[in-house]
Amino acid sequence: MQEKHTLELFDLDLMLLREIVHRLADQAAEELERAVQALLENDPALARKVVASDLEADRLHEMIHHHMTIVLARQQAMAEDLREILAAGRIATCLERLADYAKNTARRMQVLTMKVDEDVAAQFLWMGARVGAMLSQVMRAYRERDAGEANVAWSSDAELDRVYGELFAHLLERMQRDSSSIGDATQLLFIAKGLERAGDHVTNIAEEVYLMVTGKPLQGPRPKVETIAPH
Amino acid sequence: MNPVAPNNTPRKPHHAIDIRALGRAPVSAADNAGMVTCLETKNLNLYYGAARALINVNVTIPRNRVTAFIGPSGCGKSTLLRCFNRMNDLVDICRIDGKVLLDDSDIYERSVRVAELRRRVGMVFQKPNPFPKSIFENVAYGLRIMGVNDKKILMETVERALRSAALWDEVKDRLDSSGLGLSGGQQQRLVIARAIALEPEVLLLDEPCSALDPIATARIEELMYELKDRYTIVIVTHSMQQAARVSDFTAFMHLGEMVEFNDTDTLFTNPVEKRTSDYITGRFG
Repeated sequence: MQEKHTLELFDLDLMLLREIVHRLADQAAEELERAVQALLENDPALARKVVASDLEADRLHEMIHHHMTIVLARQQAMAEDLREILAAGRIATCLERLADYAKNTARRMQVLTMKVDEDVAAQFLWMGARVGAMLSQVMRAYRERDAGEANVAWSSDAELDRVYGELFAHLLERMQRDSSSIGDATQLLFIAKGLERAGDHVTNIAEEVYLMVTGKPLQGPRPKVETIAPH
Repeated sequence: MNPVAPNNTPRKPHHAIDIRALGRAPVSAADNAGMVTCLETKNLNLYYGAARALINVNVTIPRNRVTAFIGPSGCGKSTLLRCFNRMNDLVDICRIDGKVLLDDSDIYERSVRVAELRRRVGMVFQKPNPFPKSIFENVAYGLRIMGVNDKKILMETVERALRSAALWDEVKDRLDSSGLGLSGGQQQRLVIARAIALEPEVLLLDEPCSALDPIATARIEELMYELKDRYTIVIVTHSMQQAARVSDFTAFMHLGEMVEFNDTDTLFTNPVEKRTSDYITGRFG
């Protein structure tokens, strides 16, 4: 628990900034969950709602940058406060990108000609849930200022890479086997890549949280799984 | 088909200037490795009567750098600054133990001539204090005290000092006017010129901008940046933003103790001590 500032308005400014970051995280998590749901249930109406709701993510992203500029101008922040304000801006950019991947998933599912196979669906379901769980963990680390938890989230991306690699190989093999599947499979490849990139953005958020809390960057290479799929 | 030959035109760099030449590049360990110590205290304690105002202060001030002392009122930062040219000698109840070294020599040794010490370690105070004399005589004052009366030498020195203090262009046509007729910011630069005229090694600045408006403050800050090539500058300031803007190193003091001494970039972005962090983020003081 941080001590209060002598000027309590500064605490309110930071609290507001944190709150908007959490709202953006919630928005991105919801978009992601619903986009994957639309994909798996072959529900274009739900996908259209996801695309429309992404405007809210853009609005929150803009609000964070506007508010952090004002706080910087007002408060001449130093040390942990300065790091927190700068982290909010960078985390917001990662979250906005994450929401974009959800939106792209929703857009691409609308042009699929067939419902996704059960085996592929299971892997998409797993990837979406994994990104959602990683995001929850890293946002908890942000709220609790927990560098240890941020470090755990940072290291947990490898499984996502592995499943993406399997999905990539599977879709590639299907395209080779059946040229009529190339259209759908290409869309699914992009969706899978988007989910893998969403995981990367979560690890970037973990790096920001770690730096914000400790003042030091996370050291060492992030655990990665080598697959035939390009990262 | 032959592959397309690579374009051999050298790629134009995106950057046009040497950022290190700006003097604002991050200080690296290598930059600091070549630093020379100018002032140093060793287990310095200072008492006003029974009250202990400085507690075991150990600090090393590097040459040709700006070092800032920050801390809440009464923390001992001005007291410490005044130790560097023995201004505390003027306070009857003041007593010190420990050492203060200038170029490795203890300035509290009996053999030290205080007037000579204060020539080497000049001081500028919070409130501009020009003498009720002409601008010229204000700057020439120290030289005259030292017995210099050669008009040519005096003129050259006064001009050089006023130029160094970034005041020459504003006063060159009225050197015989009273120094008291200048604005607050000009008076403070006049006082700096008076100190510089004696070619000191160190300039001690005790809240030099607290009575000045933002423009005059910016002129003094700019001046510090220009002067550090030739002088070692130690500044006491209540403005953390000022310390962050102008200094290379910052010392945070609290209740007479030197809590943290660090390079300024680190101290204001990632301080080591919790007390420093709490103070600079406005959580106490």
